[in-house]
Amino acid sequence: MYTARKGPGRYSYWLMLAPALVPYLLFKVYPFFQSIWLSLYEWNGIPGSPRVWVGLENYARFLYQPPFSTMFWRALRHNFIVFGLLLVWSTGLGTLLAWMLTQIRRGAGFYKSIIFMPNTVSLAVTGFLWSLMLNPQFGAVNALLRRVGLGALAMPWLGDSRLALPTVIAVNVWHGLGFPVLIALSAMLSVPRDILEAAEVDGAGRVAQFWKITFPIILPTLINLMALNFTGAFSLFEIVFVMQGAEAGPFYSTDLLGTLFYRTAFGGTGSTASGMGLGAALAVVIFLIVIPVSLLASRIRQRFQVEV
Amino acid sequence: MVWQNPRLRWSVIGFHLVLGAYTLVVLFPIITMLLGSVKSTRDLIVNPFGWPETFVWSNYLRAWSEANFAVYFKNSLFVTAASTAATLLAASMASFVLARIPFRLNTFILGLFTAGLVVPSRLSIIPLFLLVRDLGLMNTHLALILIYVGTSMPFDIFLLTTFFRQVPVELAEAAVVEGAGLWTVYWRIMMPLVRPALATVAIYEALGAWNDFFFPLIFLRDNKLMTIPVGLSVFFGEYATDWPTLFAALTISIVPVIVMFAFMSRQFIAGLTQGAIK
Repeated sequence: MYTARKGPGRYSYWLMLAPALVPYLLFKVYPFFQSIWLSLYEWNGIPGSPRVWVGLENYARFLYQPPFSTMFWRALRHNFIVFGLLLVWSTGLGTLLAWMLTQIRRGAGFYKSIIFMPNTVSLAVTGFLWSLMLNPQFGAVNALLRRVGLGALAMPWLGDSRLALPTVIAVNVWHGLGFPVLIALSAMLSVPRDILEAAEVDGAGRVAQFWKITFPIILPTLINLMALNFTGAFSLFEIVFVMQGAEAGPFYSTDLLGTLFYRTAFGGTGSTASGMGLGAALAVVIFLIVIPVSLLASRIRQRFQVEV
Repeated sequence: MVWQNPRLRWSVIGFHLVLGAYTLVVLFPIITMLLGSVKSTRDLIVNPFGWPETFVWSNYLRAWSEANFAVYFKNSLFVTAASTAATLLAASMASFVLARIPFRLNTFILGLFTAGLVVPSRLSIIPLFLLVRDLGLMNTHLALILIYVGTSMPFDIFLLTTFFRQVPVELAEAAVVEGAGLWTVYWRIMMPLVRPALATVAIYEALGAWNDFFFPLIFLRDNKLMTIPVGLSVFFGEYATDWPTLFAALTISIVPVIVMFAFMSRQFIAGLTQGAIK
């Protein structure tokens, strides 16, 4: 409708695009491609120091040359454990709570707001709060367990290398659970009421109604949530950094690709400080894991939307 | 309706028990924090989650002035307000152009923006770090603001273009016939009509900036420039044994957001859920 205009003002829409386009190209597009480029070099990042072309060697160091390959595969394994925990604790528990919210008459709005509340707090601040709560000596969690006679369950939650990762993920779920609850809830509320009522007239109980009617209809939403669990697991960083430090203790038992990446890029891995190329290679590997899943999820979403 | 069936009442009580139990799990650390922030150190050790023996308000004074929290708070407010305002302006102008003006590169540019939805911004931190350093923006708020604006464009433009497309074309055409320019159509006619979407974007961006830990951790070195989450990490190092003050600092960090959430929970939920599902 505006293109018919003539004269110098004809291209003025570029002025309106520029404030979005310039920072986007500069701070999102360029760094993405530059990561790929940098991953082929060995460089300590200091201006003027030599940048040595090493081809794919940085990748090789992560894939099969210790010590980096040891750290990489361990972190990758932890990431998959986190993904598994999130499937159950985030999508599974979230769906269960959402379903319960559809089954009660009073208080659903209240529960919903309370469950969502931690989502508004900074994840890092949440980590600080829970690190005090879980302190083995003075923390309120162990004090509460002792008070109610479950003193045997009072554990060094963050200090035990088997418990630390599940504990940190539980805190992450405490922070984020409101999201899957609300997404699953809104999907469930879109299930046509008359189908459920007809099923009830035919004698179907709550559970049968859920599995036979609600579940198939909300399945695309659940797949979507699971894909977000996956990308979420692979972008986790600050909760581990805040609660367990950059070294992801104890003994790297909470080390994820996110914390390994931070150490590689900004020091703390112990060995050489020439981390720029190596860190960029790790970033590209994580891109290669995360981006296909995001794309696949949006593809699945589109396909299901046609069918339902 | 399901609940009118008396045979199902007991299960409803069961659901309330489960939901109530989870509510307690959510509230327990927050209430412990609030009560802990007004205890004395000795009281907190003896009695970690009960009612305070006496109310010690000086913990807040110590966190607020001695430990720089007034400064962190001000920095967070500035970075959040500036980046949200800049994001809203940049994203809405670009979305208006991309949704309403046909030109040759339109589809390509829109595709370029939406492609960014699947790219995690934080993984590009190495080139971003080098770029910010070479631009001389290390240790400035401007670096954070520019990064927040740049990295948030994909979602904001994705959301806003769909809203701009829903505004009837006739409205703008009528204005153009009466001689309105591009800017007038955008600012006077389109913007008021997409206000709900702008509110969603604003809440999503403001909370993201207020709560962000990662970029301030990388780019801010000077204590006087730090925002609340990174300031808190410095504070936790310095006051590691002074738990009541730590709880007071945590309360200062958490309560403003929760109070805002209590007043505008519907907008918050819309902003955050639309923001992450994409």
